[in-house]
Amino acid sequence: MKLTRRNTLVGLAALAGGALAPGLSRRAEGGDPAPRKRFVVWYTPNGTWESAFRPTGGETTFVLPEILAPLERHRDQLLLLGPAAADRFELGALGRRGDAAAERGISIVVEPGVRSEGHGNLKHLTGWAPQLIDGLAHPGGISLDQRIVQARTNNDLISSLELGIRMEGTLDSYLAWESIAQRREIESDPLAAYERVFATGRTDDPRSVARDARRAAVLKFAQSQVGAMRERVPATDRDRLDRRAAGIVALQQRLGRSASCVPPPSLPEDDAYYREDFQHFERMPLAAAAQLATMAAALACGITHVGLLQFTWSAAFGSHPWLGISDSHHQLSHDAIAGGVAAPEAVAKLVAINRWYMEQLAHFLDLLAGYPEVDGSSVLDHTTVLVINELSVGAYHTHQNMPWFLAGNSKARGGTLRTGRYVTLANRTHQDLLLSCLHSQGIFDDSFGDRRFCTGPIQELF
Amino acid sequence: MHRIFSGFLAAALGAAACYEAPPAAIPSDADGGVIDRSSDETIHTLRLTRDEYDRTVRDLFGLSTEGPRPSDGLPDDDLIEGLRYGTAVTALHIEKERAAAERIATQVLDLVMFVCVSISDDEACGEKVVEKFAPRAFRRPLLDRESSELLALYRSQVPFGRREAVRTVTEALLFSPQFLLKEPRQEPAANGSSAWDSFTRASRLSYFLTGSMPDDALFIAAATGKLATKSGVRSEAIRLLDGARGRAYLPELYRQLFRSERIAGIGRDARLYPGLTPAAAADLARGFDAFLRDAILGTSKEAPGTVDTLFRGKQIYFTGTTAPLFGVPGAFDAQPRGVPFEPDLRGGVLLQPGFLALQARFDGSDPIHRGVFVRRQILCGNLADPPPNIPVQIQSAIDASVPTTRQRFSQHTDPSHPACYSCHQDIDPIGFAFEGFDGIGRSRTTENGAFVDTSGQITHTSATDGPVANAQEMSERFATSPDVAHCMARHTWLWALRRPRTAGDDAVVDRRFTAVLMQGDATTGDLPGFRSLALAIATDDAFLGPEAAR
Repeated sequence: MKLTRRNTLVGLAALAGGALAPGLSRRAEGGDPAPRKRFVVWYTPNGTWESAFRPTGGETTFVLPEILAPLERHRDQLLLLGPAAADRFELGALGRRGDAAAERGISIVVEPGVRSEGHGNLKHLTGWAPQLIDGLAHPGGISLDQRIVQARTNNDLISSLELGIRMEGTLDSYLAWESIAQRREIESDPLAAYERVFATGRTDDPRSVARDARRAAVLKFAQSQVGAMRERVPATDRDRLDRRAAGIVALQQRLGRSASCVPPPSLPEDDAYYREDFQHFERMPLAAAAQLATMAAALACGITHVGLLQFTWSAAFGSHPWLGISDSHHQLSHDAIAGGVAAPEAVAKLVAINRWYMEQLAHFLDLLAGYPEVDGSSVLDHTTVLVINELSVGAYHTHQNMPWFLAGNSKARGGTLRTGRYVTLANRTHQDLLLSCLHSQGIFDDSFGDRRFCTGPIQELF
Repeated sequence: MHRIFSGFLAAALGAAACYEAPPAAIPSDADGGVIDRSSDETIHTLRLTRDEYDRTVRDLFGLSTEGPRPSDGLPDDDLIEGLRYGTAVTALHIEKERAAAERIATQVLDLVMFVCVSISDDEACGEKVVEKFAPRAFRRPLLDRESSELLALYRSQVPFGRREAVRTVTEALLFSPQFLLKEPRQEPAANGSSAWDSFTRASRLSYFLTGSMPDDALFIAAATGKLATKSGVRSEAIRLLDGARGRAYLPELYRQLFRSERIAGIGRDARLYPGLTPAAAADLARGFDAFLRDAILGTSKEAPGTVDTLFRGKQIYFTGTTAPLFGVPGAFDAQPRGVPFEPDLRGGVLLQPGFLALQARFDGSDPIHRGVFVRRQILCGNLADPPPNIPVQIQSAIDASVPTTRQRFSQHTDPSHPACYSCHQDIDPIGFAFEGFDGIGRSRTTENGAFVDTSGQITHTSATDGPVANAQEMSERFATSPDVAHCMARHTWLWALRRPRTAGDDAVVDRRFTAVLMQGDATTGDLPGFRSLALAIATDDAFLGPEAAR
């Protein structure tokens, strides 16, 4: 079959399930004693619609409302978080500084006494207020996902995999940061992501011997040139060349290793149709299907253990035409509350958009659950998925009662989180939740992010 | 895959205190939340931007501008104060640069192999390829070590065949830091200071004036010492500016600044703007570009493009697709053509349909973003990004009880809402002056049955303040405003250097460049305008020598 971009992507989606089993067993033969922990961040922008998001009912008898309903089949894997019952959210009660009722559940707090923040993703995974470097807002510290990479000695082919679905990068849309000045770039081209994950390593094709020799020689040459240039440039530029050198080393390390537990992929031929169109909003469902499949396979194959799936970007204005919604997402998030009153038409659209994202999440969890581990559990059973939204109430830019939750890594199935529950919390910070994620990965740091706001892991989760 | 105008999220939002009058001293962030985008540190080894990468690869191998961009797949450039820079270095950049080098090397292999067509000896072929392509890829003569390493690289792959060895060298050139980065090199000057060497000067001139690597004549000028003198630099700069590549490139700064590449992609509520098809949006973009070209280049050497032609140029550009949308009489074809349309209402870049349509909402005009754009990019005011807490909501645009956009935003500029007022007092009154134009740039006198008020106000500038009756009058004022002139000169200066602003830039700009733009250059006889400004920058010590020395 001619492998075009389009049918590659279709094929990718079909890959989910048992097709990768040979690779998995190969990894098992390599002697992994127990399934390794994985971690994935799931991001969507512009806030949610509280009354269609927050579960009702009790800790284990919770009822999923409209937005979360697609996750019903995974309810045993969910660890939903919400405000204490007595302080349930009411429209209009949020978004005002100093409103005590707005401080329940999980809140993003990065400055003393400031209860609400604007757009931008720099604080979400770092637990720090943004700071200015060279006049531009940068995060205040390493992000959670990169802390996990740092704490491990995985030697993964790809240290962490950041995939975007229709992501456009303003600096403050980036979530993953290796350090305060070094972001992880996000790949939004599904075919490029596929190639990157599955087609960059060695294959057994004899023609690839020359290719691999060439690639190795080119990298070695570049390394030498970077080193020489480093000696020639002003001291202030050396760090930039060091980063370049480190990037080359990372590529060299990948080159000599088998990158794939899928059947050796043929390099798909260039399909201009897809190349031009993957950023079009109407193609988001197709892009999402491909990126989710790539991420799930990369995790299942042990190519990486840390991932980020980012739908669009901070304050994204994209439309969702396949849902019949051509309005800007960002504008809808504001139009949903006009003059302090809910506007039904905009609310309905906002809910439909958020529900679609949760349908995608349910599909992603399906993919992870479909990959068996050697001990009979599934990849999902060992993967913590941290589901985050940029904001709580988009119209007010609120950072209280964040609609964040966890999925996977279930204690009942060999993991570390007591899932299948709706846990109500009072006044926990997002640093506490981030630290809890670290603990769920077996990384027992005593604090994460800004220490002033991190009071410890949330024991109710474990 | 373009970075987004982050100001979009400012729509309908309030902000903290946020402006800075243009040439004044830049307060620190602690002084009331002013965002200072400048830095004290200059980055020297900046990456080629994607646009530069495309042009350089095409010039290096003589590729046509048709077909896919060579930079396909590379991450986006950093967008800072409206311009794109090659500042970021991430692991993905390195990975993608390698992949692009591999792809392009394969694509151009036959072309590179052609230099060996009559050479039977493999070693001689390798030498020829290195000699022919490496100095041009590195934009300077090779160091001894570089040529020996390239030849060693070539030899190491000959066992896989000559073709494979040539491919390897080509790929290595494209992935080398000498190609990907612009490395300035110094040489001692007579007076004990240091200057950029001639090839660094050649590259700086060439990227500034043509967006690409030096052409052969410029390499020769560098090699023969012509660029060691200012008069030599000037004559080369004139040659580049007046050549086809230079003329095509001079408006590019303004295309980026106005984000004209986004115009073709605007989407609008079809119920409100049924005529705005994708084809019409694409033609709005082409019309806008045509205006910029004529406004920046001017009509002749005697009538060059000036700040006046940019802000008061009377031609509005339409095609056969867009003219009916605006009710423009006359015959138009596919090529954009400028006509004096609605001359009492329109003139200049800010009243071109393309600009007004881009700076608009899905379902209407957008005084906030029009105001933000003017304040940031035309007046070079430092606006803070949108604020934390948003306590006030504007009415939805579909709320018929509030007929005009201006009224819906009235809370912004009501002093009794200080959270909004502190910033929007300097944004909205500028944007309101554009309210005579709807969401795709058509003129209007009413909105939902109510008369629109186009009066506006410019505030907190050093010399441009005051009320205006409408955007036309505002544009007229901009055409002679020293604030606007400074801002345009500053954009051009940063464009020339291809690096984000640093703390000393405003002083450099006002030492000479602003005056040349507005009054011309008495010492050379250059007329006022953009071409003369480019020449003044290209021959300035601060451009030709290390910045530390200025």
